[in-house]
Amino acid sequence: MHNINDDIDELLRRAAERYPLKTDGGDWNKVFTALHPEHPPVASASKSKNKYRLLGLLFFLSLPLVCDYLIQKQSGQTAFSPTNPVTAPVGVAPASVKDKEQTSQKASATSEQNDKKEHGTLLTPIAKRKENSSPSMGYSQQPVSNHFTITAAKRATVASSGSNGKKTENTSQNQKGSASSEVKKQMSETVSTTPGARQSSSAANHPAVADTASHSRAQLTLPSAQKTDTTATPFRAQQPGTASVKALYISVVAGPDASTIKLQSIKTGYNIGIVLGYQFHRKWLVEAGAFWSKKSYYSDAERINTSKFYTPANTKLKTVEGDCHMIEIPVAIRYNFRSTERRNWFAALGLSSYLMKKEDYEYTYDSQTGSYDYYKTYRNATTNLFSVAYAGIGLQQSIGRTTSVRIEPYLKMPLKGLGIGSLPITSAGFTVGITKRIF
Amino acid sequence: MEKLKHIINGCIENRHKDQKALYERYYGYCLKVVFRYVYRYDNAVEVVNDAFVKIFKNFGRFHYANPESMERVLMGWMRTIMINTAIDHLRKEELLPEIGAMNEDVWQQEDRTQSSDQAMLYKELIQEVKKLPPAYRVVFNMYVIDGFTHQEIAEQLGISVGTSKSNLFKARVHLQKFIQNNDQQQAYAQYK
Repeated sequence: MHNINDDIDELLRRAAERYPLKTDGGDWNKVFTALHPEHPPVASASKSKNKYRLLGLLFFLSLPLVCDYLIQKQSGQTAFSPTNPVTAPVGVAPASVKDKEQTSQKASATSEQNDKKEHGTLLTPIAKRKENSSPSMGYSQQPVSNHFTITAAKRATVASSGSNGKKTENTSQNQKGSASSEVKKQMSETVSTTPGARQSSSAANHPAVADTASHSRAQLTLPSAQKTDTTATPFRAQQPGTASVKALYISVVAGPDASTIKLQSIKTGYNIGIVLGYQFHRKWLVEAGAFWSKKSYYSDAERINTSKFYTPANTKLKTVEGDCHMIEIPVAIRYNFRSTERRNWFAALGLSSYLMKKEDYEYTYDSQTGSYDYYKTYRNATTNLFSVAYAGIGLQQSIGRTTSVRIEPYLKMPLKGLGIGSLPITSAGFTVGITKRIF
Repeated sequence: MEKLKHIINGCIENRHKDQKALYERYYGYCLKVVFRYVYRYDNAVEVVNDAFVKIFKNFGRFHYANPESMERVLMGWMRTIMINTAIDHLRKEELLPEIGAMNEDVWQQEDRTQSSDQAMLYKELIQEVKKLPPAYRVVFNMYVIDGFTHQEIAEQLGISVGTSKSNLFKARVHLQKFIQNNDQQQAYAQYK
């Protein structure tokens, strides 16, 4: 018996040294955290990862601004250059052909009256209409050179008849009567020799060619309207002289989200949802959304309010790690600060509400016998209405008649504590989505 | 040896880099010690981490007389702390029998330093030790494998020396049955 026991003991001692156990799961971070609670819990490698994540987020947030700067530099123009008038935003489309004809006729009538009132101006009706209207009206965008060609031709015509003081005087002072018709006739003759200008002249509202003007204008505007129709999204026409436009749209968006509590540790989640927007002005829109979001976060107990956490007797809460699934409802005002025919750059500002559906927490406690973890799940525990400030800056690009894509980096800052633990959760990320116009 | 000396000196001076090096060097050894006492693998990992915290906090108390025996003394000292921490954990659980089957994922798939038959045998032996009731398991481990006396065991666990001996006897009976059954099965297999 004694020998058998010795043999068994020896066998078991060998087994204790050599038994095949997996020993590669050591977590130095946990030991480090327990040893040095004053230091941030992440190791240096994770620290640098978090730094890179922050840099990545800053890059995304500044991306629209950088792109805008590069585009402006490339085009050499600003949004308010008189030679490149601000077009309607992506949500606004040119009118129908009939509407265009009516509005162009109204505009021409207005410009005719202005012509008659002006004295000695060499400004052609074409140039004047360019100043007053937008391309969404269906006017063809003539190159600038045509304007100068007409004006130069007019000057040449005036100069050639300059010896005739009466004509000159009439031309410079009064466009009424035969002198004006004479000038216009000469102008049409001169301009007609210039191919590029021919279109412009035919689009001009000269009394001498009034009969043919509307006809040729219709001819002219038809191709323009057709051309514009294929490129822009057909929303309601923008009336000349007004900046007001109405549109209702819906977007489906999704994107990654990164959350942190006082920059201790950045953890990733996601957002997916829909946005309903209403454009009540060419530049201003209001949006409301509903998102299903997941946020993860970490904090040591020293940096948060632990009064609402369960703490057993004779223990001290060390760290809190949480995953939260929620319904997020943002409401924001959006401003289109730069718009082209197919593209909008916008900034948004608003407030978000978090309806917490499920909060999973892992609490780590210190006790006299050591550290241990405690898990707790809260369901539908908290509702934080308008508790998060939201800021975003983004780009919307038209891809069809009523469809566009949008990308919007954002930042969300807590206005008060969120969730069961009243945690100050800051989030950043971006959403990508497709927008569809309803009307 | 010089490297270990440097690490030990660094741990005494509370240098993070050396603490991490010591942790990574002896984590496997410590886990194997604790896993004989604690039934669940994840609990064993927690006990090992807690014990390392105690080791690093009290590293100033570590002394060795002979540089040649430095590693042996260090491993013995760490093992003592591991065992004490594991017993504290079991005492917190009131030495109640654990419920649930053992997770097979915790075992290494292959070990090139020994034959697979031997590895299988060692694994099965340790599994049998772990299946013992906690009170028998602790006494068996402390006496047979870790070399404590019944007196030391009795003081540590707060039991009498007689109880310690009795628990050891019962543990041995159980393991002998297993080993004999195992031998019979092997003999039968060879016969076939």
